[in-house]
Amino acid sequence: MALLEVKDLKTWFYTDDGVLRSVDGVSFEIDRGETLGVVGESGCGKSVTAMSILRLIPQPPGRIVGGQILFEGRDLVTLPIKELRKVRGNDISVIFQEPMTSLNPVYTVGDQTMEAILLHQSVDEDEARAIALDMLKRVGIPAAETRIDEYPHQMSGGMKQRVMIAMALSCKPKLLIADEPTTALDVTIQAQILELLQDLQQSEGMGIMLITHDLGVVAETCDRVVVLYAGQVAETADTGALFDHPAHPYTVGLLRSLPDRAPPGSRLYTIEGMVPSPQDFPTGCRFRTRCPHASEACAELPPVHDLGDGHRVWCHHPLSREDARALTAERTEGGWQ
Amino acid sequence: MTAEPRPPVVQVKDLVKHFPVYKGLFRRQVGSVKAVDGISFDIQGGETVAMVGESGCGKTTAGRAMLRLIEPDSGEVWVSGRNVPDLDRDALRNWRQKMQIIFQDPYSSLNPRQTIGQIIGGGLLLHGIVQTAAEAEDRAKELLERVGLQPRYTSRYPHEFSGGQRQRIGIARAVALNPDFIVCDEAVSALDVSVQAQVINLLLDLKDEFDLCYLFVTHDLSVVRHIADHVVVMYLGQIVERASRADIYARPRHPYTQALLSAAPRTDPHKRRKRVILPGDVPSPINPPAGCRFHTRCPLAGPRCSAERPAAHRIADDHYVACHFYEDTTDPIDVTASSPYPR
Repeated sequence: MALLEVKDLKTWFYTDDGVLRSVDGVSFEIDRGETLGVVGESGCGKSVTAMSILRLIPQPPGRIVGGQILFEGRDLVTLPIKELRKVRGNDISVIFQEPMTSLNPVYTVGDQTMEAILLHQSVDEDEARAIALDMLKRVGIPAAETRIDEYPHQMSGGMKQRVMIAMALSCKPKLLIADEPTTALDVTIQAQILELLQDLQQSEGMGIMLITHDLGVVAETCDRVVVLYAGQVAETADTGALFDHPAHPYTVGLLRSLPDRAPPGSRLYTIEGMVPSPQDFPTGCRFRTRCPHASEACAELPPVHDLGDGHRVWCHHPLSREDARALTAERTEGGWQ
Repeated sequence: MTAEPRPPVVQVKDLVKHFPVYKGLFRRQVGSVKAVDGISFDIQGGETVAMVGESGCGKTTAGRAMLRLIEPDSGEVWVSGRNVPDLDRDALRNWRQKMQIIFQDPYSSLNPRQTIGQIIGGGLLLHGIVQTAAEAEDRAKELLERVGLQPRYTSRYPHEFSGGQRQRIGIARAVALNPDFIVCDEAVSALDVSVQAQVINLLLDLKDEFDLCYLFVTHDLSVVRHIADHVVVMYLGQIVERASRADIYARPRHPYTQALLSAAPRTDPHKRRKRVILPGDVPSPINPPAGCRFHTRCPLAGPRCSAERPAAHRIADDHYVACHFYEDTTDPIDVTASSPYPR
């Protein structure tokens, strides 16, 4: 049994402008010790999916209208709120993009790290502080003994993100949801944080759901990838397979438009048009308005093709391995090696 | 790349910008943020120079000080033959035709109360390039079409557009006055991958069409590799290395450049590399480390590095590196062993 199994999740928002189907039938699973990358552009529903897993969607206007979220076999969608609170921060933790805004400015980082420990573990304050201190040391905060009593504003962005990770991992979660954990950080700090997450994953064996728009981060850290477009899964595959022979025209387009896979100064491949906003999601295949392969058939919902080894694509006209290789390799020649 | 050398359109010499820091009841000056601390480089006509570095390295301040959007403390900035810091108010306003800027955030850089036509056409009227509002409107329509938007959008307001469209409007505004030089301050950083590719193509096309040169301020090394002819690497207000794009990516010689390139994630899952992980954070620019500013994080640092500011050594044509140990850096170093972080 997978650690987390999301089945046909639908999270819709009921607004004055109508019903926004931000997440509309998303399915994927995460195993223990696995890093799953969830990629897509703004508005594809990647953050809403993450928030849905812990039922953190503001309600109203949002609502999970369908699907199941099975965590170790229990459905989080229907779990009573009391039970859910035992899961949040304990079995499943979240790290958000903005370490600057997700820490409380009026409490010391030590107090904030201890909060979850005191809530979920039967320990007294001294023991909780010892656990918190140990976590802060493990995530690489220098002079943790003194910094544990500092306030968030006394720390740099990279240090705050380390504190967030220490908080998230203090109860040894089985699943860590990391929503753009390094997007606000500089590259050298990003490298530190990604390495830290990988090390901690190896020692703790937790599953990681890494949400990002950065395909470089995916290529370097994820075992498997789910590509989202307009609230639906376009394609899912092992990282190697996805970058080698993507089958969905959207994935192919994304890879071809990356500057680091093209010869310097050349014209970049572009996907026509823009990501549609949730009010204007097309019927049928939602990518069809921008897809070079679109046909009349695409007005119907796309079927799923199973390409083996867990590689699945939702498309009427998936690319063959040879075509995909040719299209993406052509751009790679002369690229950044 | 052009075959025959042209004189540089932009020449920066020893540009300095410090921001004073005040403290206490009497607002006494207690120090200064050394945002830009003596940088020099040239930009040739038709060329793109990328200025890269992490938060707080002074790259944005440098771009703005060059255009006098903030007043530099000292130094020279020659643009199309005139030294910008010497210009008086009227002359500066006049010379702004030659030098424009595209900002990172397309949401806050367009006036929400002006129509797109006013935003693009305003400068044309101000500089007397066109005489009537109707002419300005016509020119704005042409420019909108050129950047890939509908000409009829001139009567709309910025809030009606997406981030990518707004960035196109910012670009149309910048090229409207037919400038020689544009500072692109993180101009594509906030955009999604598919939109980013469209805007990069547009910038490359316009460069040829309008015979522009760009200073491309960014932290995104894959974008830099794609668009830059030359690269300037900054750290804490100073240039640590500058070279042609090919040299920077194939033969980086400053330990910081090497670490920066190594840290940037690549999109090839089959070549997961051992990254060079720099320890710690960038120090505060208020009291930057003495000597070489990188010495607190540098794997090669010796006693000399904390005592003496390294000069810019010329190691090849157009390749300068400010490091005492530049002779020892031909093989990118592995500093993972010296990292204090648990692994």
